[in-house]
Amino acid sequence: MVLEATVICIDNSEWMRNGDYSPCRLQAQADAVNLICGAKTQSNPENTVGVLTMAGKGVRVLVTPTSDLGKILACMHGLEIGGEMNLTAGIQVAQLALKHRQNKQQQQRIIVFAGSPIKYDKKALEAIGKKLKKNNVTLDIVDFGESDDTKPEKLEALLAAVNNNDTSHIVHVPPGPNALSDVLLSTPIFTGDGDGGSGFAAAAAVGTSGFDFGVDPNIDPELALALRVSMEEERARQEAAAKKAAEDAAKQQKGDASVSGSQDVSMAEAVSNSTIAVDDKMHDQTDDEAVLIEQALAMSMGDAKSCGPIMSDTDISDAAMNDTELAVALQMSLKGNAEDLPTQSEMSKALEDQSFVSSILNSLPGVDPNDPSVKDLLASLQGQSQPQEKQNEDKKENEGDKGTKVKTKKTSPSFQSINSSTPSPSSSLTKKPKEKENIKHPATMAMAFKMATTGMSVKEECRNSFLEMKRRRVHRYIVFKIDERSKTVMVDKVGGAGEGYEDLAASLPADDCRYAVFDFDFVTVDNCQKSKIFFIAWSPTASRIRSKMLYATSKQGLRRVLDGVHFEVQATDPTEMGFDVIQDRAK
Amino acid sequence: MACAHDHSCEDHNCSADFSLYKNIDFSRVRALNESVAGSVKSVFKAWERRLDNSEGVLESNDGDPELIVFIPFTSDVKIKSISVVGGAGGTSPSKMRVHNRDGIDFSDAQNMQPIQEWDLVENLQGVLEYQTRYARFQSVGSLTLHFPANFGGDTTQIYYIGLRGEATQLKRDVVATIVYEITPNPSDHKTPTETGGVSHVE
Repeated sequence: MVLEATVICIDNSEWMRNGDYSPCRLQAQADAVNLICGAKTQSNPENTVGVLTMAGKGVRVLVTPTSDLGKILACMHGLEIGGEMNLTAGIQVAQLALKHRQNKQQQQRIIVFAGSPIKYDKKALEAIGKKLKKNNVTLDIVDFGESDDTKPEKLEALLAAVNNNDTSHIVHVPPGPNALSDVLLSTPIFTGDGDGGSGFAAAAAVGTSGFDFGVDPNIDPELALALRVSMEEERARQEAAAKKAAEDAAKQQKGDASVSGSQDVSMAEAVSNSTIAVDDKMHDQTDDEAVLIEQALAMSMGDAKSCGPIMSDTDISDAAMNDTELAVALQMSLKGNAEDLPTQSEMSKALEDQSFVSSILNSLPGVDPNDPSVKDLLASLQGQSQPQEKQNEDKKENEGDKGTKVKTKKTSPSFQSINSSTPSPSSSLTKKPKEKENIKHPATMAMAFKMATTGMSVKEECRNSFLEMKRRRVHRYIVFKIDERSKTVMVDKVGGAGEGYEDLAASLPADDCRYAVFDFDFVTVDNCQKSKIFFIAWSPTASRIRSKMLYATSKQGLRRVLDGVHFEVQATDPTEMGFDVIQDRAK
Repeated sequence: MACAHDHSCEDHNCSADFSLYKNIDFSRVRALNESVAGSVKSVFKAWERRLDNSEGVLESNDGDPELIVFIPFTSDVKIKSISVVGGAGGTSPSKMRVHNRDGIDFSDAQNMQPIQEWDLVENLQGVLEYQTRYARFQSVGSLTLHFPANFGGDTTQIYYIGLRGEATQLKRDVVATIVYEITPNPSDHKTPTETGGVSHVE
C-alpha cells in the first residue's frame, strides 16, 4: 500500500506499428498501461498516475498524475503513431510532472516503455539516472520491441544508475505468444516492491478461478464475505438439522420427550427472546419447524395421546411468545396432561431448573416473578413435558396480534380447532395434587383464548380521566376495572386531589383484580418538588384465576392508552404496594 | 550574512537547550541524495550523543556532495541556532542554506533564495553553533536544510544536526477532517432536549 505518484512514458513512435506483439506493439502497450493504472489506483486509493507520450511531435503529457482512472483510460484512446522516441526528454518531463505533484508525500515513480532502439549513449543515460536517484525518483523500464545489441546494456546501465535499494526494476519482454500485459503481471512492476505487493496484481495473476465462489476478495471483499458467511451458515444449519434428526431418531421411543425437548428449545427461545441473537433464533426455529412437523406426525402415529390431531391441525409459525402470562394461564389449565416422562434433552432439564427459568423470566420486562401465575408456571415446569408442547402450538397460533413475527389473523379458524379439540385434552386432564387452582372448564379456556387474542377495548373515559390527572392535577388516583360482559376497561373509582395513598389502598378489593394509577408527589433530596405517576396492577391471590388472566392480558392495552406512566408496580397483596415501596421506587 | 559564534558550553546547559530534536516528526523526516535510505533520522539525537556514530551517519551518494534534509516538526518552533557536526577528511559540509518550505528538490534549491545561509567550518567536536536571524524563525513548521558543497571530499557526511530553540505547542496545520454536508441529515443535529431527557408530567 505504498503511496505513489507514477508517470508512465509511452513509446508511440513508428516502430510501434510492428505486429510482433499482438495486435500491434502500440496496442499491447496500451493494454499494459491500462492494467498498470488499475493496479496502482487499487493498491492505494490515493495513488496518482499520469501518462505521457515520448514520440509524435514531441514529448506530450496526456494526463497529469491523477487518481481518476476514467480520465486515464479515456486519454489512452486516440493514441497516434508517429515520430521518434525521445527517451531522455521523456524522462525529464516525467520528472518535472512528478515534481509538481499535489501530494508531496507520494513516492515518485516513472515507468518507461522502451520499444524503439535507443540512440543515446550510455553516459547520458547514466547521468539521467543519477539525477533521478538524487531526487529520489524510482524508475521501472520495460524493454520490448526492437532489440539490438546495445539496447539491453544501456538500459541496464540506466537502471544501475537509478537503482536505490532495489526499488527500480527492468523487465525484458521478448516477442512471443503471450501478451505484453500478461508477462508484466508477474513482474515487480505490478507486484510492487516486496511487502508493498499489489493485491490486484496477485489476484489477476492467479486468475479468478482460484478463488472461492468465483469472486475475487480483493476486488469485491463484501460480496466474497457475504458468500462465505452464507455458505457457513447453511452448513451449520444443515449440521444442526442432521444432528437433531439423529437425536430424534434415537429418541423415537420416547417420542414425547424428544418433542418436548425441541419444544422446550423453541419455548426457551421464545422466552429469552430479547437475549438470543436473531441469527441463532432463525436457525433454531427453522430447524424446529421442520423437525416439529416430523415429530408431529410421529407423535400422532406412535402415541395414544390425544394431542395428535391438534398438532396436525396447528399451523406452526414462528411466534415470539411475548405474553408469558397467557402461557402461564394455559399451562395451569392444561396441566392435567402432565406425565413425568423422563426428559432427556438438555433444554427440558434446563427448564426444570427453576432458578434458570426464574432468571430468564426476571430478565423479561413486565413479568413480575411474584405474580402468582408466573409462580405456578415455574412450579408446573417441573417434569412437565406434554402440555408444554401443546401449549406452544396453541400459543403460536393465538399470538396473532401479540407476537412480533406471527402470521396474523388466524384467530377464528384456530379458535375453531381449539374449540373442537379442547374436549380431548380435558378428557385426559388429571388433577395435579400440588396445584391449588381448580381445573379449567373447557369453555372458560376457550373464552380465555378468545379474550386474549381479541384484547380488551379501553373506554374513552379512562383516557380522559388519566389525562385530567396528568394535566390538571384534579385526581390523586384512578381505579380501573374490566367489565367482562362488555369486555372493556372502565373507570371504577376516582380519588380527589385531597385523598392519599391509603384511600387508594382501601378502594382496591381483596378478592378481585384492578388497575390503578396513582399520582405521587414528593420532594427530592435537592429540594425539588416532583411528581411521578405509578401504575399499579392489583392482582390479589384471593381473586379468581379467570380474573387474573383477564387483567394480565389486558394490561398492555391499557398501558398503551395511559401514556406518561413513570413506574409500574405489580401487587398481589397489600404489602407489595405499600407506601414505602412507592417511595423507594420514586427515588 | 554568515555568523559563526563559538561559545563555551557548559554541558548541562547545552543539552537542555538543544532539545528541539524532541519536536521533530521523525516519520516524515526525509533527505535527498542520501546513500542509505532513512539514515537521515540518525543525525537528530540528544546533544550528549552528537559524536556517537553507532547508528550510522547521513552520507551523500558517491561523487555528489549535495544534500537536502527536510525536517518537519510536530508543532511550530522558534529556532535560535543550528549546530552541524560533519565528517573528517573533507566530508564536512561547507555551506548551509535554510528554507522554510517543504517539497524542495535540488533544482529548486539552486534557484530559490534561502531564508538564511551560512558558511560552515569544520566542526568535528560539535562545539560550534550558527545563530539564526531569530525574527525569521519565530514559527517554523518545517525546515529544509540544503548543503550544496563540502570541503573536497567525495561524499558529504553529517553526524549530527542540533537545533536550539523553543517549542511553542502551536500547530499551524490544517484541520484534519472536515465533513461537509450536501444535504442535512436531521439525525446528526439532535439537540439534547429532543432526545428525551426527563419527561415531566404536569
